[in-house]
Amino acid sequence: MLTIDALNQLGCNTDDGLTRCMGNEAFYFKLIGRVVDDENFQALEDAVAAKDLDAAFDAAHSLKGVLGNLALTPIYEPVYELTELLREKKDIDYTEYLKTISEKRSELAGLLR
Amino acid sequence: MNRSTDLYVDGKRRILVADDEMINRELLNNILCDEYDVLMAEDGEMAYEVIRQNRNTLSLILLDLMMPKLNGLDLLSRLKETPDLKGIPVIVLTSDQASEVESLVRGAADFIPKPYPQPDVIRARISRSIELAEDRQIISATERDELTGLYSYEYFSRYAEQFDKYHPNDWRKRLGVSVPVSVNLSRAEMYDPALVDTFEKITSETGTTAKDIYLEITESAYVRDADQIVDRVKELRDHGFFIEMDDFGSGYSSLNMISELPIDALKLDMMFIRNAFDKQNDTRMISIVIDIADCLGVPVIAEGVETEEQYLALKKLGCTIIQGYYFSKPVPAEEFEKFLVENNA
Repeated sequence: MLTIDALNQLGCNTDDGLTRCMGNEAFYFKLIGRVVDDENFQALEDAVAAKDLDAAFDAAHSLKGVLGNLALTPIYEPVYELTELLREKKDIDYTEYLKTISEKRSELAGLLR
Repeated sequence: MNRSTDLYVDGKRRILVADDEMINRELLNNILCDEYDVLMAEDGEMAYEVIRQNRNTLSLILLDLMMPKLNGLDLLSRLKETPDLKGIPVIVLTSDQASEVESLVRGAADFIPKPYPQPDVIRARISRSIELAEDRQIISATERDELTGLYSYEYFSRYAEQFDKYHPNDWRKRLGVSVPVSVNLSRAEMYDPALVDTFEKITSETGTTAKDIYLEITESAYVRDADQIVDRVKELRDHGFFIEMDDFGSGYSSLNMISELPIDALKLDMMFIRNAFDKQNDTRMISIVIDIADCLGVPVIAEGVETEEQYLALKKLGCTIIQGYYFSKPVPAEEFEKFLVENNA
């Protein structure tokens, strides 16, 4: 179940997230529900697979902004690192990053069920 | 078309949040909707369209820099190049330091970092940018500052340029005298990061020096954001400009603070002169101000002096610089030379 405690246990910085939502827990949870389904996760994977680093950067950058604002730290951190690598168009293997991001997203999605 | 200075829609100021991320838009809307009438746009082209349609009622734009169709930086440049849109203040939303700098260069009023800071910080930055833009709007709406009745420095600069063009052999050169010009600065202008550059440009273009320009900054300007104002005054003073604290005695600065202020002269609020010579002939308050100035090691300038009696009394009290109708009414530049010759003789 999605609770503040459960989010804290995953390592989310819920104090920050809630502050940005003016302390409104229901609003916070609603936005978390939305970001878990954000189509940019798929767009990121597709773009990396197609080696389209510009498109991958756009998707990662968008996710970074939202995840940071909602203080979903466990996903935000790998997305942040990935965004910076993509910004410099580093020609490296991004699979490990994508794997971590996918796992953390699944953990969060698990709370929503 | 001029933007109105009274920008309220249903009792709220209208602002635009332009960000392609719905979650970010909703977060800002939730923080701001009580205080503002919030419009939203999800890409650059849409933002531009909303801005154009609401150009006369929009108080501020919150602009994400990375958006599809038209990115924030290009949109910002487009706004600043469009006469009827450039007055709307823009705050950029960005996590990237290089972009912050770039957007300030392109005319953004401020930036809000991502992830967003505390809602109070966001609201404070927004209300400050709106307040500054509206102050500026009032001042630039007319070349003559309605509050002080004096001309703006842009006007002064253009006037000096024209004057030099038509008077290549003007009295400054013929008589070998330099008469400084006093310029009033508003609180809004004190926040202008280009202020020092503007004055340097004026002096270099008009063949004058910093010493020829006295900058009058009203005492009340120091009351709010004192540190920032003091830093700006120090910067101007370091460049050689003479700083007068205007309307001294009306702005509630603490004596403790005055001793720290970088100023070259105190200009006595006209109210003191008026009260002192009104009925009671009580000059005690003037004496106190002169004592404060002595203590700071700066001269006192008395303005609004109209009679010989006032002039002599002020001189006796130790006031060394005196201005007012007692000497002359304001005269046009052409007559000033005659005045100068007669009074120098």
